[in-house]
Amino acid sequence: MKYFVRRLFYFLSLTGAIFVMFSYLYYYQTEHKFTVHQKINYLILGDSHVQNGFEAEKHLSNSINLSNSAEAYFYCYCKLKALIDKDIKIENLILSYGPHNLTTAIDTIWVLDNENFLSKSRGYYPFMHFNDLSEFITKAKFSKFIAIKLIPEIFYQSIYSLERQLLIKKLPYLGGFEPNLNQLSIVASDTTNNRPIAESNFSNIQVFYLEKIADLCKSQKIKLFLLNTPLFYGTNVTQPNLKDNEFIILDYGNRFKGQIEYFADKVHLNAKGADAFSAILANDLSKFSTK
Amino acid sequence: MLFNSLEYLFFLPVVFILYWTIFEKNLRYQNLMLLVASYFFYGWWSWKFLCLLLLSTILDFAYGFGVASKNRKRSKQFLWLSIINNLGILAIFKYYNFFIAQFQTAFSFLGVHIDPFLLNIALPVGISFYTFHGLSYVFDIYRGVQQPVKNFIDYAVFVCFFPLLVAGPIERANHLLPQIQKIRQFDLARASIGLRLILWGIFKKVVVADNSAYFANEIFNNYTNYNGSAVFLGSFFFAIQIYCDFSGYSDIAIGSANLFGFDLLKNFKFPYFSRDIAEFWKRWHISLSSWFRDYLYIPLGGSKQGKLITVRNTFIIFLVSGFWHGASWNFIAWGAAHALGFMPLLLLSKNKINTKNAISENSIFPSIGELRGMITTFLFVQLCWIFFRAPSLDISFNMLGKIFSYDFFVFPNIHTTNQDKLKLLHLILAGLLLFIAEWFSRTSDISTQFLDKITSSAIRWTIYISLIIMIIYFKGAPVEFIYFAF
Repeated sequence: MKYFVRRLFYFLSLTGAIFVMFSYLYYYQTEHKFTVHQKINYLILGDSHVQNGFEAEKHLSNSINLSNSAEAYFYCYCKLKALIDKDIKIENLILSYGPHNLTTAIDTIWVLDNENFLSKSRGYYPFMHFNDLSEFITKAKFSKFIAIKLIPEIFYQSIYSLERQLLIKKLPYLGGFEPNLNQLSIVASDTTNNRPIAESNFSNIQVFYLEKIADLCKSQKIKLFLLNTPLFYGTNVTQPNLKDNEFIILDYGNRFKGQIEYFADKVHLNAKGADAFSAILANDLSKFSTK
Repeated sequence: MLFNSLEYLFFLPVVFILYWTIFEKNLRYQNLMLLVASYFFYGWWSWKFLCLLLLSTILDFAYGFGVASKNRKRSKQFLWLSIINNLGILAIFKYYNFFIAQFQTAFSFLGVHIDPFLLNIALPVGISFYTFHGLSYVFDIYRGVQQPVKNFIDYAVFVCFFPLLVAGPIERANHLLPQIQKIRQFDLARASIGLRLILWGIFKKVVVADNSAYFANEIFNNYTNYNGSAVFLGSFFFAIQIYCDFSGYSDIAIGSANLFGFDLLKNFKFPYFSRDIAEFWKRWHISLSSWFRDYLYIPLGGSKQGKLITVRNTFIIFLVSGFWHGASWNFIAWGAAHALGFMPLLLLSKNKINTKNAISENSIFPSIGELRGMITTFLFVQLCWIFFRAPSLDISFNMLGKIFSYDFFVFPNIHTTNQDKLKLLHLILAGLLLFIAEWFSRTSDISTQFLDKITSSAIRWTIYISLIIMIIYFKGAPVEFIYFAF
């Protein structure tokens, strides 16, 4: 029995050491290869609406789009904080703010969903502060087991990163502009995705992290823009209640209303739409900076 | 609690350590520990259905004394009570809605509309398995091969020992009970085999079965969008999924039991290497097919009362075996298809020629004849799985119709994303590894036999660590064990 336990202990220790080695490799690479300009004019964060819709790098100098599909505000907050920790000077933050972003429906699929949490956190963990992660786990009422589940996921990410570098010589990217090549063809009668949100359907967690982002922007003197990208049926967004924080709403919900050629689906711009919209937005932002 | 869950990862070592440290010296404590652990394991899923399990256990334990009576009439009465009790539980929880629906359909043919009461309850996990444990116990007492157990804890451990509680292997009283009634000493070799089996079982389930499920589900759920060759591929993926899912589960179960000093019955012996359908059934879900052989086929007369009775009995056990899997015509059709596949061998008295030894026992590669037999048997089994997996008989026949049409000769119209291609690549790699490993273990009873042939610890450890890496990296989206539904 003792011999068995000892051998098992050695085996598990060796396995653990290999895990730690791989995970550190990913951490090290992310820390050293994830580089941006020391001074960012416009940082774009948020979900697929801005990821598909705004090619910031092409239209605005010193800008970077780090938005990612199905990204809750918690992950945006972590990214922003990580960049600030690296002493990167950020002038403006453009944050995705569609009619859907603060709804409880988003909670179910982006915030409280185990798979979403694991797949996002395993990639972003080098950027996450332990306190923030712990606060999020408590706020989202995840099982205590979730943190343990994250360990093999981090290992997964390390191998994934290695495979990507071997196969396509690229680190798994933590977001960024990605043209959506689909084309909206069927006009469905359902408009639920664009319905303005009722007060009772607000997601407490999303609002909490939006406020934290706004607080961080205020403390770092970053100008905060909340961006509603064009929607096929056209819907404006409501003002969020962010206490005494300053923000500017860029509401383009109705800009391309009904113009099917610009949409990949009812809520995402396609490549053509993104090109047209990026030019418009860049032009409007330049007006802000000259004011 | 699932074998492939994080909870089990904590549960198993805790029970293992307590069992071999605090309770090592005393048989009664060892068994009590196993019973508490088993109830905890089952109760983790549902405390309510734990009461049903307990009730079933108490009744069969009590019936056992009645069945052991020297008065044959009284013994028979108790036997029937036990049969009614066990099959009654199954009838209520598993088959009630099915039979009611059949009555409703039959009445509607006569122009009478009835609106019966349907049960809206979940199927208790493992019900088909623990009721069969109970039946095996009373049958063995009735046949005189087992004495009634005097200690309730011993009997309760036999019924609900956690590794085999929810999906088998279906144990026999005269095989497991003597092990329960004897104090277990830690056996290094057995425990090592147990750990290997657990690792190998998780690999089969999480990597091969769950990834195959991804492709199989897509094709089965949207079969109308696919051509014949794609549907054929779908059935191929399901054949791989169900084998790796269930044999993976059995490996984990047998491996877990080994850790506690028990040897469970074998459930799978490389069934896809079978050269005919008779051999397949000697190698697939062995604990169930041997259960039906011993407690149904032989009491019905087996093969000793002429060809006609043998044919009848063979059909009965295949149909009952199909129906055991679920309350649906699909499972009955699946059983019937296998019975039909078995018939030519039976009628030509060729049903035993391949059951004595394994394929190419004395060579690495199979002969042309063996290869032909293996491929045709696999293809037959694969097509039969369509009945098993499709949601209805109509859909099963539609899918088969697509396969047996000119559509089959067209390139599969499966559109895959880059992610799907990567998943398929991982599946092919894992599948190849599985095939090679199983081929080199085919003459053995243990699916990890190939590891015993490697003498270097360093190489073995490298394989174990590679398997763990593959489990983490190639894992598919979690899919529940298929046999949990039975």
